Amino acid sequence: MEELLRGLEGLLGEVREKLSGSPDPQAAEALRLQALGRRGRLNEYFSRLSEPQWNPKERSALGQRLNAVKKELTQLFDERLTQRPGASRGPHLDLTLPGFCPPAGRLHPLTQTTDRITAIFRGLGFSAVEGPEIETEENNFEALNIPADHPSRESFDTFYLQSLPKLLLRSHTSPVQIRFMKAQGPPFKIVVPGRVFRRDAVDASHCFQFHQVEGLAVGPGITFGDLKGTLLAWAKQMFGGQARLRFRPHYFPFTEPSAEGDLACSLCQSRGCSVCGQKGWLEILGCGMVHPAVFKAVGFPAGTVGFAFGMGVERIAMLKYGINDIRLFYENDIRFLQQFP
Amino acid sequence: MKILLSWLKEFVELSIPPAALGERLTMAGTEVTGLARAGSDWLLEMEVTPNRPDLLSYLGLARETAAILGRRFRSPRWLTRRCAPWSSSGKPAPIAIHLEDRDCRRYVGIVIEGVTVKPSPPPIAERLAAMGLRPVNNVVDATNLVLFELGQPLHAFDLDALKGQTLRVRRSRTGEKLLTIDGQTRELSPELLVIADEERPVALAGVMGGRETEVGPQTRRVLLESAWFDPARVRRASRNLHLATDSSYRFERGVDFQMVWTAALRAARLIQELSGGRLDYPPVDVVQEKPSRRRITLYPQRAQRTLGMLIYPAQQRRLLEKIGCSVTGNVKRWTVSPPSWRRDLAIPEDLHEELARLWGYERCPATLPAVSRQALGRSLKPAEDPWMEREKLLKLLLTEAGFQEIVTYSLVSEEILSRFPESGRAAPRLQNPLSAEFTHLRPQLMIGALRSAAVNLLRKSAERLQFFETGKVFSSTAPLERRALSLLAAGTPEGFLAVKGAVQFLADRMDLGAVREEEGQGAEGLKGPVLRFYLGKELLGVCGMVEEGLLNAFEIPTHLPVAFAQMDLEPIAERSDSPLQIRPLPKVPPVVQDLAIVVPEETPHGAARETILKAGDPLLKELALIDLYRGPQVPPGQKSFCFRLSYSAGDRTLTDSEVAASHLKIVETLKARFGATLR
Repeated sequence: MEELLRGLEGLLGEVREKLSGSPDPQAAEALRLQALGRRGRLNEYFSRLSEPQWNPKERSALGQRLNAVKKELTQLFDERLTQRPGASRGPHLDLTLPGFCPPAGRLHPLTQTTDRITAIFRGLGFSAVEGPEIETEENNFEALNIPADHPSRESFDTFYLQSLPKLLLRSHTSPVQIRFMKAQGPPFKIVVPGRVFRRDAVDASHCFQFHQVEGLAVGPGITFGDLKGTLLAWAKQMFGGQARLRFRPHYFPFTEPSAEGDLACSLCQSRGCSVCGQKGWLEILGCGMVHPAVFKAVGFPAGTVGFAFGMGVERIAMLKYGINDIRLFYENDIRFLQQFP
Repeated sequence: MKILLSWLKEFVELSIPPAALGERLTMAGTEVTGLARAGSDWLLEMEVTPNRPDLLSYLGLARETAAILGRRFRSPRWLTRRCAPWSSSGKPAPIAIHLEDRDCRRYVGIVIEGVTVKPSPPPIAERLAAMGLRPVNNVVDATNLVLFELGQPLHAFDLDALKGQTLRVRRSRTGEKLLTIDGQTRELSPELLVIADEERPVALAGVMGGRETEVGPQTRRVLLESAWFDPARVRRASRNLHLATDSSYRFERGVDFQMVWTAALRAARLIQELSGGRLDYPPVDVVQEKPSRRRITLYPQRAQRTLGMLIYPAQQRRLLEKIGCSVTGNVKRWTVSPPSWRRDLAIPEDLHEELARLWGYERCPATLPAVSRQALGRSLKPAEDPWMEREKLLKLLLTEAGFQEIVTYSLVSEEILSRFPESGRAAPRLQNPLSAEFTHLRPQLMIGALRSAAVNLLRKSAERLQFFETGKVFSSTAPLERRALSLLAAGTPEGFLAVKGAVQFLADRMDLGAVREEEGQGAEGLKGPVLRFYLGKELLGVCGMVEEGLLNAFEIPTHLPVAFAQMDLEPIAERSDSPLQIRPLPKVPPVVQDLAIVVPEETPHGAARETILKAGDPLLKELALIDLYRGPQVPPGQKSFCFRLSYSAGDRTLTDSEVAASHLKIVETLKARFGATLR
């Protein structure tokens, strides 16, 4: 019995000593298994409890001592393994070290802006579709009521392709309207993001390529008021609940009536500042009721009604994030790109 | 267009401040983009849309302003005066005019004799200067003044410089030339409409007059021209000659047929006044074809319905009358005749816009369409393009894999394409490029990726780059455009593995099925060994290290290895999402063992992996390389792979001896095949 109790004290002392030597977590765990594990030394002592040499009194005393040692050992290991600061001299957890996260990339701001615009219109019941960047003259112009030798072509200075006659780089996303309507009849509501091209020299506010999001809703009973409401609902989600839009009569060959949509300048509360060029309003979109000639071009019956709109993604991103040079989008300097979420 | 406020006020009563006027015009569709003081006057800069040529004059703008503000339009006395200004000598004009082409519908010629050509009086010269025009002499200035005043372009010939007694409006003949008043000799094509005397063309119809017949100090007799030319014909001429004038600008948008006559008389009187000339002959007025008066049927209820605005039929009538339309019929159905100067009003929708803008767009209540509800009731084909969602997923996955998205130009230069002889040959060339820098459509995405990498490396924005881009690439032969993906990794020796890993990650996460890899040598822009990816039999793309020559061309330091892959997305886009089926979870956990072996340096991982998989079949289910070691712990010329092997036998617990046997077989095979030793 004495020998057994000595052995127990020895085990306790040994564990204390080894743990105070601040072993690494694996060594501490090995030590724990050695002492407290299923086949560990303490269990060996417990198993000796059933030996026939002990009388009941001895057995109970031994049992009590064994349980006490077990409790103490468990406590020792718990303290060690939970690493109470100051409780051990081992490497402590430095809470001020930089956190670690596998490095992820980001989406380009134009993608983020396009996705946001599109997602809002999806929420309003629009479906997203796409179209090709090389277009026919017919889809890009004639079917949209922009005849050759008409001054309205001036706003669409277009790139043509050599050795591919009658083909051009689309100067707006509107030809997708034509493609879609030739494939499918009303009612529908679609939104069309995409890249477009105009023969503009590159400077801080112009580029020969940019991105648009086009919208088209056709169905019985659609009104000009629905166009206003849809765009207003979009603007409030895009720019915040306080956003205001105003609609100004304008001219587009493919809509009648036509309007330009201006966003109230949030910097000056429409009083006029340098951002809005003292106008108080920022032009952000063009829209209108689809011109009957467009419906005629795709073979829809007379009396069909619908609205269409289009907006520039770069322009909206520049307004939203205070970007003053369109070239930043295409340079891909990571110091610019990584400012976006 | 510039507008002097004082001049405008001659035609309309105005009492509101200039800024308020600008605001009202803007909100009625003619945007006022600038407002500046000009001495005691105000100068308004405005953008007139192409459908409203009637606003390109003081008279027209005054009519519009009067309608918008509800003010009175002041018709000047000379505009409505009926009595003829010419003396009734009864003599016919000393010139005959023949219209030989349909594209001149009306030509008014007035002869003014005994003129004294001299500088205009200061008030006229100053007005023209304020409009941005250099005053020339009293005759020319009078025509320009009337151009601004009434919107009708005019031209004055020196009658004595014209050869013969007949003026013809005809197409130009091949080989004919004309020295125009801007001092340029122009070769004329049969596309052009010209005014010709009996020998030669003397003016480009609607665009510019000729130098030899222009009015100068020597002129005694003037022939004043006021005409109507076909808009498309003038536009083509102006474009072909690269010559845009105040005159062509108005003709190509369409001038008022009635104004041709009025403006001629107004200008003739003005010239008479300013130069002391005589109007001895009645004007020659040749009309070839009168425009028909339009009648548009307007259903007031339909207008209300499509606008979503409650404008009563009687109000509709009043609004249209304000802009000069005559309206007859009843409240169910108006018949509307627009005035001669509003040729843009042709269909009911045009009138809808007039109603809405005169009523005020802001008074239209904002509503949401009811289309979606109706659409659900019918069998609606899904409009959504499934690829758009897939592409979004693809992009998100690549950001997750550590790649930054970039967006680059679709246009590239011929010079840089010469470095890509294979793809460069197929790149479509622009017919009308802006500059030598952007002449072709990109045939691949490598150029943009390398340029973006160069920007960042040269500016030291980052030392390590991982970029991806999705976009269209182009070819001169069908298919003209394809969706593509590029991946670039620079500034790290593991760049190749990062790019390859991203492709594998995509294949896995987008459920592409087995993407096969094949080793090869070189590809366009890539040097040394390359890896090709196949989906089924279709080549998806190539991954490898970018050639040093190319890195030099983009000024990328060559000590930085750059890995690049371009993938064709079309085969992926064609595969629609296969419906996902979830497998049951295994009931028994696998037995996991690590295996570290030392092999000669030249042993490829792929070979070792395949050997292990084959030897471990059927119990070995998963195998992953968890460490690759070279260093003091292994002999020189050797390396160590550490694999993690996962054994399982479906629903049953594996016995130790089964695993041991399989493991032993693997070790023995590796030994025999590669001379591998356990580490």
